Amino acid sequence: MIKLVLMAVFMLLCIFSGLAAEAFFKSRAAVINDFLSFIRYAKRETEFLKTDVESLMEEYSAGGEFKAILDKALTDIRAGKKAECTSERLKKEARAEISAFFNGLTECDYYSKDALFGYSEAAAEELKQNAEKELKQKGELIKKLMFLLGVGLVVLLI
Amino acid sequence: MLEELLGAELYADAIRLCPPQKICEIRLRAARKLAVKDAFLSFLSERTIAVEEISSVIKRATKNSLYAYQEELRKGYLPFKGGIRIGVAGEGVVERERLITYKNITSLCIRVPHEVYGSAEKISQLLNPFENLLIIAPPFGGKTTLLRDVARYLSLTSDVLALDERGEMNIPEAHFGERIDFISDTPKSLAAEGALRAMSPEVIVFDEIFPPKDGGILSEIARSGIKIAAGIHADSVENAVGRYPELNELFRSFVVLSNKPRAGSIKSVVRKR
Repeated sequence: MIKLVLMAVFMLLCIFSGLAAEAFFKSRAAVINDFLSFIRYAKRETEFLKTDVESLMEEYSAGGEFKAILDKALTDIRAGKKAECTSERLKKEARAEISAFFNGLTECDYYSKDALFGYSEAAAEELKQNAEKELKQKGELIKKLMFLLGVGLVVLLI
Repeated sequence: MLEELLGAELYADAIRLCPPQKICEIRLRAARKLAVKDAFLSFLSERTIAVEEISSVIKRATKNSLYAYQEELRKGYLPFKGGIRIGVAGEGVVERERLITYKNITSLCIRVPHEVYGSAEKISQLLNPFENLLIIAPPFGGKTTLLRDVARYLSLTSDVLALDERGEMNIPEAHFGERIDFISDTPKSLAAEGALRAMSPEVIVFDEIFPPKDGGILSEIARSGIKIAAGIHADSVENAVGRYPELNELFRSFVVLSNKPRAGSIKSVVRKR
């Protein structure tokens, strides 16, 4: 009976750990994807409606993590500070790119904004590709390995 | 509103020199002293302005979005809420003999509008019956203030359209009649044609006209039977009409304002027969 319970517990633990690892990489990719969408949205809005940075950040409808990043950047900017992305879910280079984009947007003029959008869009595309690659190579692999580990533990217990 | 624009420290220094409700102009010049003006006098603070403070004011004025104010910057100013206008000076960027923007801005001239309710009553004889009216004044002469009150006065009885290119007329504290419409932050030349057809005004009020650029629109409006009230930079009727003879045909009444002894002082009134 104890063996059965242990087997079930190990199996469940391994499955949940695998799923959690995958979810982490999925949400990282989702934040990068949201960032890329925000760049494209900002590009449209600033070109045709000349929407200001604060309204862009305030009104953009995004998922939980990226919304938190936007809210923090908006608070920083309103306080006269440099916007800083501190999301723990992202890698250092992604945080740097996001911060640089927000700060660039607050400093560029009409003529330099196109260069900023061009650069940031390309950088975000690259980050997105890397995040998706990581999701496949690490997230899904960890999920499968954890499942196998669970099965292995069950076999050992038997 | 001024505090929001200047930031707490600069604002505190400015109101130490002059009570906030009396401030008409604030000048920030890099490495020079903060200057504040009311309707009569100028005051200098002991505080020396740093370039960073100018940059911070620009950031607040543009909501951290300089790119959205390109057209205004090209014309040498930045608008802020409440009709506050910020004149800028610095290094001009010229391309193909056209000024495209300013960079390294080193001076700001912050103009704070005030409503002087009833100032148009002094020239009520020119407003009833109303004929095309030109208000002539040097800078800081009270032209926009008087025009705003003329718009208020006329909008009690006529359909008035204010082409408020720089957003200085429709300020929150101002009172107007029920029959007024505003087209704000849009160049007169772009707004006039559509507005004439769509809004059917009886009177159009312009903040500042520049005849070489706006002459065509003014003639068109006058030909269509709509009355005009406008302002122009000059110090006398002769000067204004001498420079731009077409004004003599367009306008029947002229009010000349002076900034001495205070902004808005009426220097002369001319009505053609």
